[in-house]
Amino acid sequence: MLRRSYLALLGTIILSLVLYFALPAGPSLRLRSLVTQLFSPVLSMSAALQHWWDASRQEVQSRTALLEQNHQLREQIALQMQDRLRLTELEDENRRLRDMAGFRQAVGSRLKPARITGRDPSNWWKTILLDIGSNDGVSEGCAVVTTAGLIGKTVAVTHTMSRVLLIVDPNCKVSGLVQETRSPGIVEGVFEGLGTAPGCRMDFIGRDAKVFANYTVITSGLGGVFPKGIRIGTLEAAALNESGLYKSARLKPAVDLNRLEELFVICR
Amino acid sequence: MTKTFLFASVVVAMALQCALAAVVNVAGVKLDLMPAVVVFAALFASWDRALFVAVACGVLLDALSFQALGLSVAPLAIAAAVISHFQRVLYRDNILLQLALGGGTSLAASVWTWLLLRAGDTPLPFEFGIAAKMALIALLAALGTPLLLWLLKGAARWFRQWPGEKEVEVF
Repeated sequence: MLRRSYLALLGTIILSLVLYFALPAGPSLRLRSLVTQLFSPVLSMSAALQHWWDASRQEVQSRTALLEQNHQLREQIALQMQDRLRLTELEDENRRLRDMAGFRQAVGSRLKPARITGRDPSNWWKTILLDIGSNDGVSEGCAVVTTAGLIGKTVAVTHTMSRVLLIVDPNCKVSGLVQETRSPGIVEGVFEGLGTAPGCRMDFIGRDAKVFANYTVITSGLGGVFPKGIRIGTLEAAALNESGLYKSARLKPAVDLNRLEELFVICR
Repeated sequence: MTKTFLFASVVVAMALQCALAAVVNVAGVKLDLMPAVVVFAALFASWDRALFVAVACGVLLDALSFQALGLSVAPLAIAAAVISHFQRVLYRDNILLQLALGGGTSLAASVWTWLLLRAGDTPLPFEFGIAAKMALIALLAALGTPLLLWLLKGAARWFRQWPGEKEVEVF
């Protein structure tokens, strides 16, 4: 009996190691997609729970804060009414100019709005699940953005859901460019320890490149996954790498990845 | 306890973990309920069923996260086998023991992850912040263990899966 249990345990460990080291990407992806599809109702419930929690927290506010907010909103409305009049004029002018130049707006039609339905249940990886999948035209390797900047790319897509690898995950690598100096580099996520915010690092910046804190990093467009010019984040501090061959810099993402709401997938 | 009940427990716990991942976040650490389910099966079911639960927990967690498949299976299986081996000499209803087993299982899973990732393309660095994070993951898992065990024991009684139920019926 005892021998049988030891053999079963040994078999399980060997099988798990074979799965980890030798399972090809194809079957692994199919199994993941299947499990994700089966769990999609549960993950939707998770998203509903999160929305309920956020809404509950927002409802509890002091009267003074609400009055102040009310005052600010009234001011904003007045300003926005003026802006609206001005924008209507500009819109007409813009339409006329576009017609004249024969411009076709292509990017807008490729953007698919999406909502988050779940987050990675493990503590070491940074992924999120979106409520759109291949039925909506999403495929693997599509860039995911917000109006503030880059979030990540789709890595597994089912008919109705997509898993997005965030830029702060160590497996995500993006070809970046320092906007001010045009110095190229590779942006990748770093494992976060306790008390450190999720962040990235920009590696392989030329050793003679002049890069300073608060410089903006954008996507370079190399590699074909991420379109050029999407904001990734701002540099914090750059230093020569241990080898002395290139510079590395910590990067603060442009988007607060803990507070994501409306996202867009750039479909190819 | 039947395998169906145990598998249902794994699925429900996984669903709960996915739901709580967006809500419970202590210094960037999410609540891990899989060690608690493994401890439950190892303490109150036979060894083969404990192993079955450990494998189910590991595969499900890996498939629903971005982890490579197989990463979580081995440490959970080892923990299940060790606890199951000493099942008869452990005072299973002691909360402190349940805390220690939940925390220990979680810590074993984190250390195993660290070891396997060291051999891969994206090695997990060995630094104070990472060690502290592993300790906090284990602490949260430990705190969740007695609560989940209480809930699962209640569910087992409700569905007449508790080992004592048959004896009551006989007498």
